Amino acid sequence: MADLRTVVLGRKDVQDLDRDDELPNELMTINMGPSHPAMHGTIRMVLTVDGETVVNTDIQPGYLHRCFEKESEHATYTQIFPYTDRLNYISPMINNVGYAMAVEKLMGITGDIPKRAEYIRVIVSEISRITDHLTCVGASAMELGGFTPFLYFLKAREWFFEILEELSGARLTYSYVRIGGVVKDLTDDFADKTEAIFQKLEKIMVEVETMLNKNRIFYGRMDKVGGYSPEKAVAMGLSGPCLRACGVDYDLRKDVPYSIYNELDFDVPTGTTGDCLDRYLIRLEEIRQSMRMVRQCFKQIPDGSHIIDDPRVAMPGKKEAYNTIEAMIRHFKHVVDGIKVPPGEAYTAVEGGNGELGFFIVSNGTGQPWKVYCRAPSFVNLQTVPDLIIGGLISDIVPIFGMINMIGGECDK
Amino acid sequence: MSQATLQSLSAAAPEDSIVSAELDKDNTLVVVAKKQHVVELANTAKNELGFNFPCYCTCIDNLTRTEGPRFAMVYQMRALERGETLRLKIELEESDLKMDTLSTVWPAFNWLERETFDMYGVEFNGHPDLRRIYLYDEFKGYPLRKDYPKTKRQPLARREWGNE
Repeated sequence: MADLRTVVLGRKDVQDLDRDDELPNELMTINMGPSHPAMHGTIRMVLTVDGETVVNTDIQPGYLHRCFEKESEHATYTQIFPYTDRLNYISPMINNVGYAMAVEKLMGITGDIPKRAEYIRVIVSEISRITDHLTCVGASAMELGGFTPFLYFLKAREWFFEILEELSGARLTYSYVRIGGVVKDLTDDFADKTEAIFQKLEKIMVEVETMLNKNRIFYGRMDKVGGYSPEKAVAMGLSGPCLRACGVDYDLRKDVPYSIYNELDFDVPTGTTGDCLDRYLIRLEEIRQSMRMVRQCFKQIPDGSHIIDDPRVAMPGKKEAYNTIEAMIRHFKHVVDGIKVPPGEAYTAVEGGNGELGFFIVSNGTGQPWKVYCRAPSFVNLQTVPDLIIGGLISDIVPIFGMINMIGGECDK
Repeated sequence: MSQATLQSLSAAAPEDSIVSAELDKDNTLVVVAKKQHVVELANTAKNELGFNFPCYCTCIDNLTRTEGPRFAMVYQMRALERGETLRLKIELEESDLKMDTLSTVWPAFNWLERETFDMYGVEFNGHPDLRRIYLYDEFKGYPLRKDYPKTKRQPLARREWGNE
């Protein structure tokens, strides 16, 4: 058997080790993804590496492309809601709300939405934001070797999914929001159940923070990894928690207030360096702020209708539709022809789990949109990943990619 | 406030670069620009008027329109400090579906223009890396154009076997 040292180092003699010429090396191209155990989401990274340092990268999304825009052009306005569920599938309520707001702006009924519907929308959006951040933080911790936080957070996420399932009938793809309001009112004990889950979540968050924040491995792999300057972040269109981690105090809920966010009292956490640790801490703080907002909403929510009282927009109730001819015709026209939206174009943006989630809709006056474009925050944020990982180590890709929180369905549309 | 921005944009814009400029219902500044001077106009909007945050860019295919060009590129930017939005539209003829890239002004448009190229076939002069982004290179046609049938299927990859 050959001497191990000879084989590994390619030297003939032990004395040769003192020679200071370096071992020959050359650049190597490796694929990371489309299905890689340390990265959630289907994405292919073609890395050019020098040893363990990343020299160049080509990121190729598109493995989950399901023609969202083309399908939307052939559906009525209401039929698009299930498609939006499947964009960011860990916070579908925010997608529902963003899309509904764009259509409402096009129809000019933004101001007519009942107050109660707006409150319900904010409540479910903020709960969705919590599930989004829980998934992001939990999955990233797991990829860095901390399996317990992942299990804790996914368990907490499941509690939220359960109450949202009670509300909408689906665990993940809710389609709960409608143009002009939401499909049905909150269940009677929704507030109590949510509050009970919040109290459990607060305890879990303390436990997870104790496990992670001062953990030597977690801290070492997150701290000073993937920092980004605020100027560059704005120029690259970065948004959401990643932008705020860079120190840019920008949150659509605060700066371009939509719905009833200006009636709520909440803080926008910002970071300093934009590294992965900042992004992680901001997500945790945003979970707390979201809980604060939902609690305020439960205190302030008024009584009233959960959907606009406009026969052109809202579907008739089942009782009416089965018993009167007018409502039955209305029901038929809604389902077959769709809601008539006046010609024009409109863009609305909401603060999604990952950043600015926008819908740009062009209408030609029929029941189907002429064009629906989705500004997917994951897609725009992902564009900064080459900047972040070039020059770093391969092992740094895992926390950076985890904290960008690319969601395949949203990025690839 | 947006009215003032509209005036200062009209004043600062290079001569003969704007076709029309107006405020729409939700106070978005909609500017239809000529494609010859679009980069200068974009630089003015970014550097002098503070539209620093790129939102999105996409293309509209007006296939059924009887007069005017078929395609229109849409770029939307926001001034973070003031919360104002600017929507820049450039109309493009089908026979000459090319324009200068704005990814040199707002780097975020790099991938977004690639997406538009992928879906509509608009070519961007001076783009650093104009390749398809969602679909594979062998894909024929541009799927979001209105004359691409929704039910059309293509094999997942197409290679010329035996020619090499």
